[in-house]
Amino acid sequence: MVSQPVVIEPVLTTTTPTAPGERAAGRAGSSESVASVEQRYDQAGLWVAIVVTFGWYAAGVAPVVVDSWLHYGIKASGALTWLVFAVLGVTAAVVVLRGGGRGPALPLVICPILLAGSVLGSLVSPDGVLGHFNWPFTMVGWFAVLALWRRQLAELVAFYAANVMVGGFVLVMLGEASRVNVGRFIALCCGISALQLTVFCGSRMVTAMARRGAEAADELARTRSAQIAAEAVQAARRSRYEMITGTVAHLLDGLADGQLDLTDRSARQEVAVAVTRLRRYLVESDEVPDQLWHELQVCADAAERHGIAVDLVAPVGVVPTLPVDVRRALTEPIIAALAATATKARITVIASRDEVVLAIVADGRLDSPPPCLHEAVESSYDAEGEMLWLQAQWISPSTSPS
Amino acid sequence: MASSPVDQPVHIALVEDTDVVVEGVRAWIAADPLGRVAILAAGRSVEEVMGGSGASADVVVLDLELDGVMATDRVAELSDRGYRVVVFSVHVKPLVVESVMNAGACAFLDKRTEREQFVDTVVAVAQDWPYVTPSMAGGLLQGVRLSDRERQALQYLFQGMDQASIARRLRKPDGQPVSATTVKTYIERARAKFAATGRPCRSNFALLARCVEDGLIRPEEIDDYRPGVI
Repeated sequence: MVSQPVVIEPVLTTTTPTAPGERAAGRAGSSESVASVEQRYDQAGLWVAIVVTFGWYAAGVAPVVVDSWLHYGIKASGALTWLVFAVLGVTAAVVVLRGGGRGPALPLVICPILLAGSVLGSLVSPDGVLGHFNWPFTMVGWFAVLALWRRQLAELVAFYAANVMVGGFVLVMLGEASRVNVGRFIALCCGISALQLTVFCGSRMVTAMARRGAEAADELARTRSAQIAAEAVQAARRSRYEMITGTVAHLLDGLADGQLDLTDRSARQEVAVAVTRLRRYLVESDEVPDQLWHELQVCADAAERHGIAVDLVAPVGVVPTLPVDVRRALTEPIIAALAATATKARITVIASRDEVVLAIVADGRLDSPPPCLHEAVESSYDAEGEMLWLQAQWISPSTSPS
Repeated sequence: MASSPVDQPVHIALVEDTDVVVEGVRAWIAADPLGRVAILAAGRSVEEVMGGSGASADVVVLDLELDGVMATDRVAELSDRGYRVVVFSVHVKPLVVESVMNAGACAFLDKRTEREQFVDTVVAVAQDWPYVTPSMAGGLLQGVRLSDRERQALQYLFQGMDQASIARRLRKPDGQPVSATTVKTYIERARAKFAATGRPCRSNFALLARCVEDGLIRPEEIDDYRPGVI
């Protein structure tokens, strides 16, 4: 009597615990997504700085230059400085927008020119260092923000310090350092640098917060994936354990307590069935193009090891992809018949998209046909003298009459 | 059919590159009590056999793999030259069988499992009978439009049942099993349909003529079988 096999579907039997290399690859993948978030926020902050700088330069500074030109002539107007600053600003903006400006080259070229422009502006300003026309002193900080966008905050602070020092020096040199003017100078320095530092530091803070958020989300997703994989592996292990237990445990118990008599034909058949089932379980999760055919080959091979001549004929038609429980239900009669075969067996497969018919014709005796394990699989059995015929037919549920 | 005597032995030309198989064929032929088959020529290549005395053979028995090279294209060539070809091979995939049958082979024999049918097959082919071996049934199932009964009979034959067993499984509407003769008719009609839909060549024409002569099919049915005709 063929024992009833356990028919628990292994969940994701091909899933294996993530290998260290795969974990590293996963981390690399997640780093990419975090870096992408970081880059998007950084670019947004940079665009804010660019818009504010050039917006103010065009709308706020350009009219002052024109006004100065009209009243004091071109030399005192600072038009050339305005043009140079514009070129420097565009250059800095283009470089940092393209991801550059990480090295010292950009600030080393731009910052000295900006400081020189600031000094020149203070010297030629018609209304003094603190006057309306000394726009370079307040404007250089914005261009420095662009040039130092990808550099340390300390460098920007150092630039401000340098600008304040040279501005203060000129203030003293020109004899404008009255108490009131010094107070105004300090207030001016604090005012302009606070605004520029806010844009510079604010963008960095928002970018850092976004990166931390992305990292946290990424870590959560990784943990969840690892948890799902671990649960799948555990379920597959449990399923395999139950299948194997259901297949061989009672046989081993029978051998241990002497109840199983291996001289008995049915007992030998039962052992042969269990061995073939185990071999089939081992290959069920193999990734091969035709799993049913692969499993049949394993069944045939197990029988040939017992000296049975098995003629496993290549399938007629193309075997559709079938779930493991259907494949088990199809191969189970074959396994039972092979266990009962005396010398030779012919196994055939006829398949179409909606139907698969497995059959075995063999010389042998089977006390009873194996039970059907799946509702979509119908098995037939016939015996004539020493010849037995078993057929398992799967019909796609979508085409079978309900 | 298997035991029907023939007036003259069927002369075969055997193209086979394995000596032990040639010896096996000689032994099977010698073991036939009716002496229905005789080997006219045997050799390792088509040229060697058909260039000599094999040219006048009734049936050419061709191994599909000669010296490691597949000789599938030689089937069509021999069929076009008017020979009846029986393919004798281990390459029994239904697609291969269908392919050589389409090329004009009269029959296909599985070298591993159908040696007992060698003599019967050769004799049947020599007389243009629509004989079908189990391995041929697989090829026929691949591509011909068959009735349910014909398909069922061919399916059981392919699975390895003999005609008596097939008859036991195929039942009439009243539940009674059909006769072995009826099963034979289903299978032969399936073979005739395959010949009718296959490549036009002398062996297919001769087989169809024989089927018409024996009343297995009507001449007007032949056109009905052709592809694209409903």
